[in-house]
Amino acid sequence: MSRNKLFILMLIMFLSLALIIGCGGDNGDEAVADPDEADVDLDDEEEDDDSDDDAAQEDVEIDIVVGFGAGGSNDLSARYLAQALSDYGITANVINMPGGMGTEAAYHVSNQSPDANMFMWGSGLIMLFEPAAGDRGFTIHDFEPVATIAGPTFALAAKAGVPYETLEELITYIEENPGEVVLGGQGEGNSMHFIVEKILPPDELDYTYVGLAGGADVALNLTGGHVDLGHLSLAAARPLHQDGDLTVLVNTQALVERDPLMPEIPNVIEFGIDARETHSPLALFAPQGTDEGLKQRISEAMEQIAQDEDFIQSYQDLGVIAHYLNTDETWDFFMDIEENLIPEFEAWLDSNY
Amino acid sequence: MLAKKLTINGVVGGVLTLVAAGFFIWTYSMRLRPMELFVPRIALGLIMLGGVLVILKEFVKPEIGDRLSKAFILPYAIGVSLMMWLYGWAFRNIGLITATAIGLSAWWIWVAVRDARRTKSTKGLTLRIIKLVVLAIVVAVVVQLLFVNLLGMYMPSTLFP
Amino acid sequence: MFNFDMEAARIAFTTVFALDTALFIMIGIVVGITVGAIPGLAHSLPIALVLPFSFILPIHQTMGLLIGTYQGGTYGGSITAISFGTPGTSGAAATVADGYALTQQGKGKKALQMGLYASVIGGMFGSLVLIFLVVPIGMMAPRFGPGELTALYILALSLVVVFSTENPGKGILSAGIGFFLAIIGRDIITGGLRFTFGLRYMQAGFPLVPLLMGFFALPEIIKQIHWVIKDPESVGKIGDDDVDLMKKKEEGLTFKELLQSWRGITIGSILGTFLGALPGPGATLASYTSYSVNSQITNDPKYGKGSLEGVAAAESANNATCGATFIPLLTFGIPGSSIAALLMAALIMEGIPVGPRVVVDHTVVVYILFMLMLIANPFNLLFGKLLIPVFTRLTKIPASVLWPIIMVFLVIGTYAYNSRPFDIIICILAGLIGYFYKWYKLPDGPLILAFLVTPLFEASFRQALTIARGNYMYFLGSGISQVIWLITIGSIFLFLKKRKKITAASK
Repeated sequence: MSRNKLFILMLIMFLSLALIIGCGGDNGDEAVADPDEADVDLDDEEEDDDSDDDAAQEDVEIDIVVGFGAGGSNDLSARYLAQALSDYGITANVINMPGGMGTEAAYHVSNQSPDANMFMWGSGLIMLFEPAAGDRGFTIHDFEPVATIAGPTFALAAKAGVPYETLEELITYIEENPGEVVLGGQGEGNSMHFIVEKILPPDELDYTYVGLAGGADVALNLTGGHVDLGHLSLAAARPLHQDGDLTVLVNTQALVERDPLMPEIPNVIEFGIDARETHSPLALFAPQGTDEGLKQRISEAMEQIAQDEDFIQSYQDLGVIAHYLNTDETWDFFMDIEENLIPEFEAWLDSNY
Repeated sequence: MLAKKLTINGVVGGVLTLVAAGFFIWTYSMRLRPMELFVPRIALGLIMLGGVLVILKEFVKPEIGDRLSKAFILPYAIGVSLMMWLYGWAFRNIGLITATAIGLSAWWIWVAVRDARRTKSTKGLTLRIIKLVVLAIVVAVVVQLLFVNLLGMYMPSTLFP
Repeated sequence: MFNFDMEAARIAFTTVFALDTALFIMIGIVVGITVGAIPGLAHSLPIALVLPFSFILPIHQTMGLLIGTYQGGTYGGSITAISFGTPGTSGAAATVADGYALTQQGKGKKALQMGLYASVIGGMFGSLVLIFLVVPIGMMAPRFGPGELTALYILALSLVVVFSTENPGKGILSAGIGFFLAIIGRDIITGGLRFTFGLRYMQAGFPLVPLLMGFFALPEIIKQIHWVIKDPESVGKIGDDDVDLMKKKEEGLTFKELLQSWRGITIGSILGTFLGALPGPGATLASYTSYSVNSQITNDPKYGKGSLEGVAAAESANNATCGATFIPLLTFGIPGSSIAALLMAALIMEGIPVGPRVVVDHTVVVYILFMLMLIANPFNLLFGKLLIPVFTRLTKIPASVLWPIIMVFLVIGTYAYNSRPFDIIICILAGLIGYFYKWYKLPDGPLILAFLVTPLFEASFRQALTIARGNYMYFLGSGISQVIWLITIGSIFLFLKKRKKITAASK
């Protein structure tokens, strides 16, 4: 009677053993990359706000929630940051919670208690534009900023073989050939679409905007010649540009004018059009009430990291500019968007949708 | 005559058609653009068409209609769903190991006691229960090791492990 | 653009055929098969988990681990699909119908072996195509724009007709429900909320993995629990001495049976590779398409009710996508699926800028990837063979013990997929729909096909209409579209003709 039971037990033991042995190697390696066991009593830190020097010596574990699936530039930029933070005694675990353009994740973090040590890897898109488009269950005022460190660069690119190579030539071309140019962007009725229409206002220029699924889709449609223009990340466009599959016309980086990845590409502001993508810079946000000492410690570490050559290089390969803004600057940056751009965005949404 | 031909098969098809028709009418009062409602309307149209075809078939060729199981499983479906939901709630709020071990042993003990009653032999029941509880704990630990320690699944902090 | 480079091949060869690489592939395969076999737990999860290793491990080790996990996981999903009727990964959903039927007929071992061999052959085919045809096929992918893709997806949707022959009303009903489930949530292009009933959580709609897991697994759990309570004798009580049953050896797959399924394997490998190379469709659609296309040409009367060929068609297709996924990645640096995006991330973290020039600038790395893809298959075969006896025995555990454990894994796996508690509720809802399907005898093929294709179709269709400014002739604009339309019309016509013949013969 018990032989059967014993067999089942042994099977389960065997399976679990196989798992532990099979994956045990991984776990050991992982400990090198991101020490799981660095669990430290965090309450200590909260108490001694003023003795920052002592607290800085202690290891602390935090979670960085990313609103997109693993593998994209949003996720990778967070992972590089997490990796770099480990040199400062901050063990950061990256948690992916994809869904609703990052708003699912932001909603989750906004509901965390301040001592959960959970941070949101947020951008203007998630924190400001999405809540402006509809009720997402949170607003930016449920959060406190920590620091900004990353600015992904986006660009407008034209397919190979078109008769325009600069933004001015493009605008002239559209004026001369109304209704001919097709522009593929990333989705419709969102902040990316809004920015594109700021560069090329549809009431003045007659062209077709088509919302494609995402950056990869835009790149593919440009290479295949199904659209004439595309709005995609500079990192995705650069190799295709070098290979002659497309031509990058202009970048829309908000933090700096020229992206060191492709310094020859002008910024949209140089043409007197303020359509820089202020919704893209990525900052770390904490739920309201998070310990000041911890926030400051992370912010200071991020300042150091933003100057590290390797880190800058890694970000550059992703098409992201490492650019540090401290807590106050970050808040000002986001509040500037909320005051100036969001009302315009809402009006745009109301008139179009 | 009509009543005789009105089978459960046909009734369910009719209900689905009505529900879909309701949604279909509803789409006209939605604040969405026609393009966004294009595929939803195709979907609802297909459901209506399918439902009508099912009813028609009942009238035209009732003899080859599907025989639906009369076994009353619905309470079990609801029960299992509730158990799944309850467990889903419990492992996030009470603790993965605790919820799994308690949930599994509760079920197994209940089945074992029921079996013992049915066969009217309580011989070895205690031993069997102990083994089952051990098995439940082993499963709970394996789940914890696999999902949390190895795969790094995100777990909210809970009262118990 | 891409000429064979002997020196690079030699370096790649010595790097890949080393003990450490083999070890990492092995770990990857074991992790992949195990995780793939756990219902609800998508194998993209361990791949994401392995991602941070790219910071510390050299490229051949990281990629060995990742490719091993990918190939193993894609195969592993079939194990639970066959043994318990619960697909381990979404790509194995098409395997359930025939595979689980075989298990219930006591031929589980044959089915598992067929799943393994078909997976390995499909995987091998996909890898070889990747190696020899990466450039020509890669050049083909961008030619599929919104117009061509719309035509292609309509061809895929026409397969729904194939599933609906027994009872057209129910087939259409099923497809309609599949369409409808797919459009719930945020509009894929505009983000408008459709049928979310004001619930915040519904904005994400019905994600594929929780839907498929619930749809297939829950009805089976309900059935088994019902038996345990209603009729305990039939399921064997806990501690019952059925050692005899366990000792009874099941017959394995014979070489002849493998050869007899050549149609399924061939179709699966070719369709899997083709659909895998296009961005969008992925393993699940590939296996469903292959399964239904094969149903039209098979001679097996048991197709759909326990046919080895059905298992072969579905399984060879989903593993064939593994190699093909790399094609757009290596030719344009464009990831065609979420897993391709993860692999691309790992390459970027290793300092390899992925783009159209990667085959020229980093030939050695590309060769290493090719060789890893190739040798992952024999390892898959080896570990699959070792694990099959374990799983055939697991199926004989008494129902009252086994199914609650599967339920535990299902719930946690569904949650782990996106760390979203609401996914568990989606899984339960999908399960109740699945239960309704079983009871009402609706065919599940149309639902899955419609559910998979709808978002792809809708996006391409609307994009095409926008680009063409409402001119429907755009859909016939290119040679590729015209060919696809011809195939669609031709296949429906042929199918109806064949159908007529069968009904005439049966009368």
